[in-house]
Amino acid sequence: MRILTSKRFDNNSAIKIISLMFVLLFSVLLFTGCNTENGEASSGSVLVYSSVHEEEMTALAAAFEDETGIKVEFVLLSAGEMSARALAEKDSPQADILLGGSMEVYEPLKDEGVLLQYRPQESSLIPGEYSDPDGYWHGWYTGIMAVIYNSERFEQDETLQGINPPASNDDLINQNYKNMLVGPSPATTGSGYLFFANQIMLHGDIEGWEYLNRLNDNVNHYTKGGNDAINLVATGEFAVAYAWAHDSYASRLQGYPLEIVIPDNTVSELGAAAILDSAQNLENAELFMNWIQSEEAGIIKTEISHTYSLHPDVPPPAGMPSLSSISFNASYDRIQSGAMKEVVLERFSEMTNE
Amino acid sequence: MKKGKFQLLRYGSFKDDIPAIISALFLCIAILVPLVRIATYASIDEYRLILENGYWVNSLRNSIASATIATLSTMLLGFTLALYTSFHKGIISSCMRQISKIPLLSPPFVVALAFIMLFGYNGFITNDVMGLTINPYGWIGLWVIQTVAFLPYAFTASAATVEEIPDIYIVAAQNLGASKTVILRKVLLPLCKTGLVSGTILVFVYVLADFGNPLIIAGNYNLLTTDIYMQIVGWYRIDRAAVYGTILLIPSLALYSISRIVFKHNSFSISDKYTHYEYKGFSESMRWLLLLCAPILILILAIYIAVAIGAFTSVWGYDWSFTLTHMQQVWVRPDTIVNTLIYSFLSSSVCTVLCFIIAYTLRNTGNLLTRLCDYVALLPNAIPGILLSLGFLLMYSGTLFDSERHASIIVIALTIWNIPACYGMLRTGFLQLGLSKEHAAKSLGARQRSVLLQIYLPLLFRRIVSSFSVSFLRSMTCLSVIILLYGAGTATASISILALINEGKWSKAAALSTTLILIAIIVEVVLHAVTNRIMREKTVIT
Repeated sequence: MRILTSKRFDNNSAIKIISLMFVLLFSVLLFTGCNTENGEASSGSVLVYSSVHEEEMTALAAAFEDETGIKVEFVLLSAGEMSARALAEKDSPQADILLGGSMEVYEPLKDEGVLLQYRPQESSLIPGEYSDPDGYWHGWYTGIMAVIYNSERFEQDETLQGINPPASNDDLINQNYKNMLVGPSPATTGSGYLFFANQIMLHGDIEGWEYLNRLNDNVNHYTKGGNDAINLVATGEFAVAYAWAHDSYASRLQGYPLEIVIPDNTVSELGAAAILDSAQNLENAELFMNWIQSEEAGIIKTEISHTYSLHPDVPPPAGMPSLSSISFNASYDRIQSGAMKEVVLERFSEMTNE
Repeated sequence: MKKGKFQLLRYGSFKDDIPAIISALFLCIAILVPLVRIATYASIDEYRLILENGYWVNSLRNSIASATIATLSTMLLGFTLALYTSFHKGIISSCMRQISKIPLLSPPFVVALAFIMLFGYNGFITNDVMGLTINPYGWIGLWVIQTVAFLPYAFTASAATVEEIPDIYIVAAQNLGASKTVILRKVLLPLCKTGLVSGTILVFVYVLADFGNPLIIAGNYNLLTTDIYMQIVGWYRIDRAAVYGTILLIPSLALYSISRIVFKHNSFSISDKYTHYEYKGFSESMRWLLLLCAPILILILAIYIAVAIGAFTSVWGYDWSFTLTHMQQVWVRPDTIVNTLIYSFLSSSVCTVLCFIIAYTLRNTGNLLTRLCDYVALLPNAIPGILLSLGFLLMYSGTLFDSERHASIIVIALTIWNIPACYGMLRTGFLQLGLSKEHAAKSLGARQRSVLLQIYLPLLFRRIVSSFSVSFLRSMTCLSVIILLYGAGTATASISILALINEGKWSKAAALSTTLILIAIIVEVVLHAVTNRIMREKTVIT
């Protein structure tokens, strides 16, 4: 009798647990289902694939929502992923807007027919030279390429005693820095490619690659993410890197002993945005595109990310020189830079595969 | 009843086999379609072009070389650990068991990050303690990290093999006067050989599929998995990624197929925990095994202590002052953790129920059909997660799943990725039980429903729970399957950790990882306690 009851109890308890699991399962399913339905139902939203950092994106989304009542949903991606998704989802509309990343990312997308031609009405204040002449992508911020080093490491590392920290791009090929240098890979990051393309356009094809080969001798490894190189120098893992000035500055503000040098003949990114051809919330997307080029958006972006707004009324980021005081490589041509990317990357693969 | 070698169906009516056929069809569709989608994505011309330029050769060589050394070292350690722990009871042994499983609790690339903090230029151990400067970026660092990260798999595969050896062989050998070394060499090793070889193949395939670790530590040492990721993330060449994926699939699938055909031994499942009797004297000689395993276990502990410390320091690696802000931020905005928990719960319950049903339908069917199912169901083990992700991205873009904003795709992908773990465990359970109990119950007049609910369910309850908990853990720490599938508001904790690492917020990443590990431990402990409670009340028949 006793055994009998205990057996019945066992079976019941097992069944109870299974049924409980199912109830839980379906309630969760229902719960997530509701969630997505709500997202679908509200027409007052815009979906952004964004390659700007989370902090800036959250602030931008909140500000836009405050002003227009339109909810900004966003997916944070690297510029490459963003573009990969835009291509993969060409026939199955997802996002409305691509945000962030240099125009070199947008050019091929324009050729693939993924982007929508649009002329923002309120962008008259941002000079037209910063946007695609055909109106497929629109520039709104810019970031500067810098040389960074870990000052503590230059003080403490015995092998670096008596060696000056780098002050220019040419210093990067100083043999004393052998294996103490890291940099973002031109194959996977916008910053890495910009640095490479800039050297080629500055020195010409032959001398440019000579420089890059000597740089390659010094580089310990090319990082896959743009920020990785900054982290590695910030924490003292490596001494020197080439990297975005603004991201380095953010790292420095965290307390790392990072020094930022903006060398002569440097290069900048032209941070852009575009509406996707398959945008479902077209009106909202257009409103967002107008707004992202406004002074207000510029101020938010500049304050958080330390990049420069292209809006003439927005002051340069705190702690950074004004754009006009920076020496840019005058021979840098963005369209040509985008066009030669394939060739440069093939040659880069050869160089690093040796 | 003698069974034919290639018997498709059981002798008897076709009708009885319909459930098993449906199961087989389901498995084939769910698992093979994403693979076919990848393999057929690029056109033949694109294949030719990409194969001819030959950049993949170097990466393939690196992939195979690094996977080989990491597999050998991790299997050596895993087998040693398994030998020691299965012949020893006591605190040391169970501590070793638990420690060797810790790497399962966190996303793998967290190990790589902590390793840099410990052994990098400014590393806690190399620089501050030993005064050394080493450069961990490259194949050596990768080797160490992968040895740590895959130790749990090597350990479970070896332990399953060692624990399956019946005690009686060892007792017999002892009675015949064999010395301890002879027992090890002539009895244990030969009996473990098959299990070890197929375990090695399994671990090799896992290591080959790893991409989180190489991403952080491999430096310029390019692997095929990182190449696939870079092709998508950096070069936005989906066709090339698909071709590289197909190249990577070839060795994985070949090895996997060989192991399935050559060894019928089911090493893809994790066995119940049997430990052997403690042989006095025999265990004495194994004390040296402790010395061999101790360093790696200490390394694992050090790595996770470093992560925990990182969670509570202002600026990891630079300003070591104590702070709670990172932890607070995690708890104030737990969206990604909530997502992780929901997806993991959904996918692992669906997968467990599904695999239970499938294994149930297969329990008495012809061997050709079951072998097909075994082959296909365990196949996702041989598919790198990033490939599954790519396959699902290609498959579902353009279908109604898109309107769900990816949440359902993530759950489906995770479910399929977890099928091998759940299926292996439940199928072995049904095989071990055999059909005798069902026949007995039926001759006593039980209906099919009661057989399922009152015989199989209670007897396999422990396996059901552990299949749930294994797939829950795997889903929680999964990065590769989700990385191409997440959308607005559906990012998981592992995605968020990777993003934080990329933004240079290492302490925040550590805080999020620590929280994730704590949740994983709590889930494990609760599940364990609940099962034990239920099982204790039960009259166990075996």
